[in-house]
Amino acid sequence: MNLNDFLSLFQGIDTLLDSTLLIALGRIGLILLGGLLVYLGKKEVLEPLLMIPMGLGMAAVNAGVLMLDTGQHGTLFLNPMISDPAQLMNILQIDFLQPIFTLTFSNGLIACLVFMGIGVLLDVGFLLARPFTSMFIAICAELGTFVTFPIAVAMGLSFNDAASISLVGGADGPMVLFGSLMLSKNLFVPITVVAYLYLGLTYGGYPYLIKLMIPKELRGIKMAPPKKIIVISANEKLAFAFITCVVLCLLFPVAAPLFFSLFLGVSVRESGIKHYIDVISGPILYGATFFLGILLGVLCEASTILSPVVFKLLILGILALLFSGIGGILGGYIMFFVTKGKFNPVIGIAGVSCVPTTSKVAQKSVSEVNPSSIIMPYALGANISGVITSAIIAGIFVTLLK
Amino acid sequence: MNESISIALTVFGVTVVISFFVVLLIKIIYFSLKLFKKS
Repeated sequence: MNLNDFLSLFQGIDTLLDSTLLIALGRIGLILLGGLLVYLGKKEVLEPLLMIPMGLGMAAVNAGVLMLDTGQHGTLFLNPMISDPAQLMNILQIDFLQPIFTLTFSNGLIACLVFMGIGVLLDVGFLLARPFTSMFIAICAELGTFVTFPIAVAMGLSFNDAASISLVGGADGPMVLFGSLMLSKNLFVPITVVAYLYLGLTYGGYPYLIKLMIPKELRGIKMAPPKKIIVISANEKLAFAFITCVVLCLLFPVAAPLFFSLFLGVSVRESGIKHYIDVISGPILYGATFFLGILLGVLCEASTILSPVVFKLLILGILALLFSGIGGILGGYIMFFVTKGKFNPVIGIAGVSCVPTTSKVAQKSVSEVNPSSIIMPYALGANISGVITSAIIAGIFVTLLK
Repeated sequence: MNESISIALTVFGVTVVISFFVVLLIKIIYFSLKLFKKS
């Protein structure tokens, strides 16, 4: 038995030695990155619900490359590049994650299920109590989306790819997944991975942006109690969900699955159907997040993800989130000046629609300076508006460019 | 490049209009339900 025969017993190592240097280094790098994601997820620096399955999936798929019958390198996880129906039927019976990818991921179902779960967790009462302020801040916090689009085009991306990566500015994972699936089939894997990696960083990065842009005395501003307490009934919230869903579906049918999923979640919550609430906020939301994490990890196979455009996406993704954070804080400052100093500008960061992370970040930053200042209701209003404006922007981009 | 800026501005403009339409919708729902309760 010579060395080649011996190595062919261990095909993961054999294919690593048989690959080009770039792919081999990419595989090793991605295995290490997977380990880092698991570690950071465990430490809760990044979102563990996504990072644990994603990190392990990323490491396993890059380790488990084997020689296929066709003589090419491949895995038994899934093949995202297959579109021919005959080949697809064949691969569905071989690759164990292919059925989940084909039937839930590549048609956007998994994004819609996550969105439905988010809908059940959202209390739109915070938005209905202060609609103008919340929407205004949410629009300001989309600055990253608007600014990144022309920058991405200037960096050589097509309009569709540029729109997909600029949606990262909305800081809404399911939205980026849905938008990139609709707009740039070839790049949706790296775009979604970049989006989810960076969204995990918002929790760690935005507090520094707040400290950089807002002086301590302004961060501690206590919001004045409202002149009259606005009570929003479940009927009002349900009517809002129904009418807004229908109107947005009428305006942007291409994004109707997203709008429907979000407002279905809200409607179920406000209707008080306990069994549905339990199912959607538990098994559906966590099941979808779990499989989303696994699929995002498994899609990071070196030969799929390594391309020069990924480096551009990494730069554009961070720019989009940075500009959105800055835009949100500027929106907070505008409200601060309009209300003659009675509005805490930190609330602006919550316009970035990473629900409820950015609201928590805002409240934490304020509490560090003034523990008696409660901004959470305002922050959640802006946060929920952010989800709606992100969905609107995704709808406009898809309608304009598809 | 110019075309990309005009697309970005279009998206921004439409987002602003639709968002304020949503705000208007919220106000209409709020006052309609208030009137409905009164009647």
